[in-house]
Amino acid sequence: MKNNSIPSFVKIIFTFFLGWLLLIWIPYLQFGTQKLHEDQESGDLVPRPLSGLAVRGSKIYEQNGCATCHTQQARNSREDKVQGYSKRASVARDYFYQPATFAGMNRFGPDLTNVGGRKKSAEWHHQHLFSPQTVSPGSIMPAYGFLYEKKRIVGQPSAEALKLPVSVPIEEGYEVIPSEQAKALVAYLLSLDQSYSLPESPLIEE
Amino acid sequence: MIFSNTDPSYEFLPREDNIKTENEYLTISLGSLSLLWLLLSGLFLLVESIKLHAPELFNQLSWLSYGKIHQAAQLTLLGALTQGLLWMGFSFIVSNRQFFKRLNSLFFISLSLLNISFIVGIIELLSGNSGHGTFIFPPYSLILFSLGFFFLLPLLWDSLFKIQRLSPSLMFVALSFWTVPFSLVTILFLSWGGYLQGAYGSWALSWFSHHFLSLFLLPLGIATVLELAQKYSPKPIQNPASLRFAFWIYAISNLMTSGDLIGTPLPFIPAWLRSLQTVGSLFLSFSILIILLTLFRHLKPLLSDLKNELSFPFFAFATASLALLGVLKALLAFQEIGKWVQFSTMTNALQTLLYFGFFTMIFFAWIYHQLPLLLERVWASSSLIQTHFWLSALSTGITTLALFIASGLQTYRNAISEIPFLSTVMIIRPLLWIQSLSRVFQFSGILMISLLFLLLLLNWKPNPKNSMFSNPR
Repeated sequence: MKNNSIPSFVKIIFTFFLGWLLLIWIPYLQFGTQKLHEDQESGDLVPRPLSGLAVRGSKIYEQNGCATCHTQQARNSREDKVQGYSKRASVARDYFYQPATFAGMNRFGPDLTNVGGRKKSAEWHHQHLFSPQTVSPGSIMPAYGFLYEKKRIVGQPSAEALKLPVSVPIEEGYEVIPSEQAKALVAYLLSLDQSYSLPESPLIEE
Repeated sequence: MIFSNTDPSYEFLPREDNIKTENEYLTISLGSLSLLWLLLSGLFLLVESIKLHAPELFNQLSWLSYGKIHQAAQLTLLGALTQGLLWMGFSFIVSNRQFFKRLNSLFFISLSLLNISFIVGIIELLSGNSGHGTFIFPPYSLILFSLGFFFLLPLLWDSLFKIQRLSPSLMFVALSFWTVPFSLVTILFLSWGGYLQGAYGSWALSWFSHHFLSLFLLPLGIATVLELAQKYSPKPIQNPASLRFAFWIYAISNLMTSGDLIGTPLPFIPAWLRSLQTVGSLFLSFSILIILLTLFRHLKPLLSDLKNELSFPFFAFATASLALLGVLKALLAFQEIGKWVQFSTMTNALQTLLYFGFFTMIFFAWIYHQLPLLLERVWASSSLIQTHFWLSALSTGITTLALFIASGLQTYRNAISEIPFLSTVMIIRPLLWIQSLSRVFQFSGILMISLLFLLLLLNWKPNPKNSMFSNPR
């Protein structure tokens, strides 16, 4: 057997260390320590921070595996432009405040990078989560009924109650109220908005 | 007692009976557990399909949401593959007379922790403690898995870490066992340090997934291919230097680049990292194709004899799937090509090819070829084995084809502004039905091999004269 002065174990550790340096440490220095950008027009710092409710909502998004079917990364591609996902490509800084990044790999459902900008109505999101097919006929999205409570109407109907179409039958005298989890999830979805400009990815005006 | 190594000379005197007892122990423990997890993953995949096609069904049960079931199915599949491939890896070590010193206690602790980690992981996923983004391991599951793996390291020290010259298959096994502790320590450090946030967190998790798939599971799968090829044809491989060359390309380039077989680089990471991943994926494909070409030349003269070998169709399907993956990935690694099918069902098609076309098929090939030899018993029914092959092959083939077609439709239609997104979803829906139907075939096949395995362990048909199993050796 060849007598090597350096033990093989040391060589292996060295190789791993080099890989670690290249793929973990340098990327951290490059885009793990980014700063916010001051928007020229509004003077605001972008991206904007998430509210506490939206942060809780991101956890609900994560728990229910929404990233299995939805991406959150817009590209400068024909498909993304045609589908109106964003007016610019997502860059690392866009995810500055995201507790976890749900980049995703599949688009069984549409990209959600800018869903808060595209669909601004909380009511629409609640109805969509409760019964997706009623607002998006043909959708294969599962219904998230467990995020909502069916309650007997006592006195006046609740202002939070979902305004469901007749195709979704609810027993007489009952209403559907979003749970705290549903409200958090919708707050998170509404917070997804990359309609600001960044130096490394400026908005493309049509 | 199945296994005993109380003989004080055991550690220093490898004997045939030690090989047999260790292999029996490995077979009964890791083999049974991997099949059990495979059954469970098949069940989860069926439930996932039901949820996909009946989205309103049980929508009041939070633990049964589509996303949670999907994640649990992925984790159970990893539980099956991890243990199945560990079984093969250990078996090569034992058969190459590289003995473990303390197989009894440490192995038992490690195996228990690994299985507890997967059970805890499923409970965590279904109850909503999913950890970081789309990361496959929930937090407690990751800690238990890491502990379980670290208990294996003392066992592997003498057999892999100190050896200067290993056979090509053991080099791949060693790569697996070297990689995991390193990547586990890194990801635990990043997680506890709070670094897994934002875009960097996403990158670090994809780096870990790459390590888990391409530098832990895939090398064990390739090692199995090499071992089986050597068993089908006892002649030495004509050009072992090419295998060593392919190994070093595979190991070094992938440790340095994080290339992978199924994913595409995240668009929002810096351009140099994306390019590096492209180079890594090309090297990965290149090394796989060198290995498969070398093995093809090795087995070519024996192909007519191997027709009688029941495990060979599984082996051939596995290697063909790997070759197809290598070629496809080499094409898709180029970002200009890859971006067209990114986010489409192409990813699912590649996943199907890797998980069910390669990993499970090579696992089945190993079981059907090696178990009768290791345990000196015979399979209960050859026709059941053949049926299993056709069920698995049809399932994987049809699913992959359906997903390729769906990917093409998505790519073409989603780039036309007049076609609404939902209309494309409705067009590809029948193709997703095909995927679901083929999961029934896949599950039936897993039931068959589990039954055969059980009958073999029970020595249900002990008379070798009745054996339908043929072995070219």
